[in-house]
Amino acid sequence: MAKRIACLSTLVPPDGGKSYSEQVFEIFDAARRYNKEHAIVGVFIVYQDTLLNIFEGAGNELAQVIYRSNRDPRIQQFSVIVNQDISETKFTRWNLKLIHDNCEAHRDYLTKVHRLLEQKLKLGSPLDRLRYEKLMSLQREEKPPVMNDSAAPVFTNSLLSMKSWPRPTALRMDAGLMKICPLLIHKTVAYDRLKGLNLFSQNDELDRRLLQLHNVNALQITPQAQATPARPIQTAVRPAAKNQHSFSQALRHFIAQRRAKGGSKS
Amino acid sequence: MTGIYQKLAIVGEVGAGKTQLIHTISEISPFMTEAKSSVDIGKEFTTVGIDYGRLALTPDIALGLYGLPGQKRFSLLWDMVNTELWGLLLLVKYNDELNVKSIAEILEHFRPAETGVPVVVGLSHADLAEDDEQLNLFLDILQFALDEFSLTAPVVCVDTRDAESSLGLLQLFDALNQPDLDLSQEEHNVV
Repeated sequence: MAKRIACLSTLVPPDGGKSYSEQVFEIFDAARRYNKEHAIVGVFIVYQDTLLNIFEGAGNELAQVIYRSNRDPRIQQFSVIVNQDISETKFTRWNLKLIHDNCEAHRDYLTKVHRLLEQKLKLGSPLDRLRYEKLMSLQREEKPPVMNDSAAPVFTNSLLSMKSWPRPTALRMDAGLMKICPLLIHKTVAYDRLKGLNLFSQNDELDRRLLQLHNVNALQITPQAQATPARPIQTAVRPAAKNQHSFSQALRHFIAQRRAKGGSKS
Repeated sequence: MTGIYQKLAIVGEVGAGKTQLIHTISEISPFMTEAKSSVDIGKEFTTVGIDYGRLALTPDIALGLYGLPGQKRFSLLWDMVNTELWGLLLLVKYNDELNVKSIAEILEHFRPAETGVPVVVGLSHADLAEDDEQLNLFLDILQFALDEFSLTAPVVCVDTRDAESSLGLLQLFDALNQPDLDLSQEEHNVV
């Protein structure tokens, strides 16, 4: 009979000049090697300094893992919160999830994790409850009131922004996306202003690109309180910007020429 | 017209494809500093200094391509290039070992989040990943390393042997180098 064991722990601050990510990676990588050898699957969830491990595999193998984890000096306040028999595993390999605030995909993932664990969950101490709730409260954050669920998003009179770049596994960065992503990343942009830039020759291309970003959860859309009419953008031209403009023009011409030659240099 | 010369630093670990990238896009025969490797790194030669390539965009405008080894012991070379960069390309080779340690060392040294130099992470050999799940795991770890330096950078898969893929990187840097426009809903006066 296979087992599922979930454990909470807290990361010990790294010392000796080691970075936080390095420490997390080392813990994960050591577990990855061990778990692969012992046919243990599951996930290693990291949110700030809170770690949630879910292991699935043979009971005797999991017992070894719990023993090893308990003695790992890089983590502290180790606590088993789920210990159950399972008929089939839910994971296919040992995986890592680094949870970020404001990431819808991560909230969805945590919702699934919570559903998986909730029936057998035993939060024995206030600390465990605190850590688990801190992690899972992310899934209850309200999504911005953007659009109705069934229809395509409405961009008109909206403010757009991107908190992170789309992953190459989710969306390939092509020329069209390269035009709009740098304008949206960590900035709040009124849709009408963006449209006023006439970035694309075809009218619906901007909406199509925004929809692509929306579909991979890269785009944040919030209603604009009071719509302001679009107007042409004018900015003062600084000498450095002028140089940059000339350079950019020359580079674009160069790239277009190389592409016309099929990438060939001659 | 005054000449304009911009510099793109291409930093990455052994085998990430720095030399190949410069070879693919440089207009001149790249100046390369390769030496026969004394240990098994999966290839016979490796870069031990700066690879240099150049794109003459017009008679007065050029882009210099500087390929730099990713190991910290070459930080002297990093310093030689790390002034007024047009862009910093981190070339990362996908590997089953999921090792992104050198990324932290490079970012700690170049500090692009502070200088405002645009950064792109080029992920090479992504085809070696068994599936998207494995690749996503690597991307997770990569993102974690970037977050630690408060860096938001696009990660793109790149085939440094392919001209289109390599030109796409230049295009992305060009987009990142465009001046910021205030496109918020607030009305304001600009000249």
